Formats: sequence, structure tokens, C-alpha cells
Amino acid sequence: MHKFINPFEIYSEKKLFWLGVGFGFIAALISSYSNLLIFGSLKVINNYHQTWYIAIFNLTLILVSNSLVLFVFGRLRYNKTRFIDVFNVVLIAHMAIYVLLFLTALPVVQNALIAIELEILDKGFAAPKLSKLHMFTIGIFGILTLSLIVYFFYLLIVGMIIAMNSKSKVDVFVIIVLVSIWNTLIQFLNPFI
Amino acid sequence: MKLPIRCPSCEEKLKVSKLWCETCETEVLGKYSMPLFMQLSGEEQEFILEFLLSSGSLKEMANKMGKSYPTVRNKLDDLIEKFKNLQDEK
Repeated sequence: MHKFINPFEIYSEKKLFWLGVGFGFIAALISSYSNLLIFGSLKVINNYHQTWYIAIFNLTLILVSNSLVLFVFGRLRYNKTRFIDVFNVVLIAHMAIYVLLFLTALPVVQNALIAIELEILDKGFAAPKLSKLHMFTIGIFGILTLSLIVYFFYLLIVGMIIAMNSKSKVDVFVIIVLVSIWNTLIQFLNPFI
Repeated sequence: MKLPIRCPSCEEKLKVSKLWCETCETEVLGKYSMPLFMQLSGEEQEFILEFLLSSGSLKEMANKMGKSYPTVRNKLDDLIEKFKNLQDEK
């Protein structure tokens, strides 16, 4: 259970790194084959065609840029902060987002999402009607999505606390704000291929 | 048995006032300050001993303890901070 609560405390940097890289690679393949793009750490968008190597590039862009932002902050707060520790935190925290990507790629979720899109296009936001199955699917998907985003932030925070030996609650707040701002900004910059 | 370092009554730091030889039963009375190392908790003392036995290698320590490198480094940093505070109190 501890490996899910705080993997950064028990696993070596090598193990965390290869675990993060391995899952990142699988996520990039899912992203490519399902035409989904992780658009900033907190958003997955539909109908984005990319080859497997472009998907790896796009995902690497997100992982490295988030790591750099957090590393600069970590270094400012604690001068012994190492890039590899911050990078591992970002790699492992994103595993929650990969699960989200996988869920989004499931045909049952895709069908429900397409049904919503069509309903909204047809009737607008005011009175979209969905079948019970689609409503149930979207309800469960929504709850899981929120839980996974919370878990993503939780992993980022516990990992960064160790990486920068933080004891301040302000750091937790700054990490959340920094990650949210950067991942919103990257959507506007849109450096994805 | 755990060596108490704080007074159970007023929480002030304890001093050493009596030493005793188990073989010849000689007793030494006086007022000695507790050495810095003895003012740490048992777990902290063990950590420092382990650090010494690992020739100061945090990586080796992390492997032995089954913890990650930054976790062990943070513990050492916290101990250094505690040592500095104890020295300042002196």
C-alpha cells in the first residue's frame, strides 16, 4: 500500500525512473493509437492524429517542461534539490494521467463522449438528452477523472516535499499553482506537433 | 532501556551527576552535561552509527534502509539542523 501512498520514499531513483519511462512509453503508444493527446498535464483531447514517435515527443515535452518548472522552484527553496528526483516525481505523478488517458480511450467512454458531443451540437447546452447507459458511463468517468487528477496532485506534492525537503505548507500551495499555471500556459503556447 | 534526556517533571534538559563502575562499584559524582550525541533519540543515534559504518555513503545507507536517496538525505539534513540547534542551546 505504501507504494501507492508514497513511492518516492521507498523506491530508488533508478526504479522510479524506469517505471516512469516505461509507463510513459505505453501512454505515448495509447495516445497515438487512440488519437488522443495529453494536452498539458491536466487535459486529454480527442481527434489528434500523431504517429507513435510524435506522441513520444509530445509527451516528453510535457514531462520535461513540468520538471524544469518544478526543478527551478525546488532549487530556489532548497539548494540540494536534484533534477533526477524532480523528474521522477513528474514521471510517476503522470501515471495517474496515463490511467485517465487509458479510460478516455475505452470504446464505452468514447461512445458516451461522442453521444454528448452530438447532443450538444444538435440541441446546445440547454437540454441535451442522453441514454441511461451514457449518463452512467459519463458519471463514473467524471468521478474517476476527478479522483485521478487529485491523485496526480497528491503524488506531485508528496514527491516534491521529499525532493526539496520541504516542511512548509506554502510550498504545497505554490506547487499546485505552478503546475496549474504552467499547464494552462502550455495550452496557449501549443508547442505540440 | 531508553536513556531519558528531559526531566519527566519540568521538561528541562537532564545533566549527568553520577557515574558508576559495574566491576569495582566506584562511583563518580559531579555535574556533567549530556554529550550532544546522547541528546538524540535512539533512532537518530542508530542512523548516525549506520551512516558512519557506511563510510558516509548516503546511497549505501538508502539501500540498507530500503529508502530512497532523497529520504535519507533529508533525514541527515534534519539531524544536522537538530545538532546545530543543540549546539546553540549550549
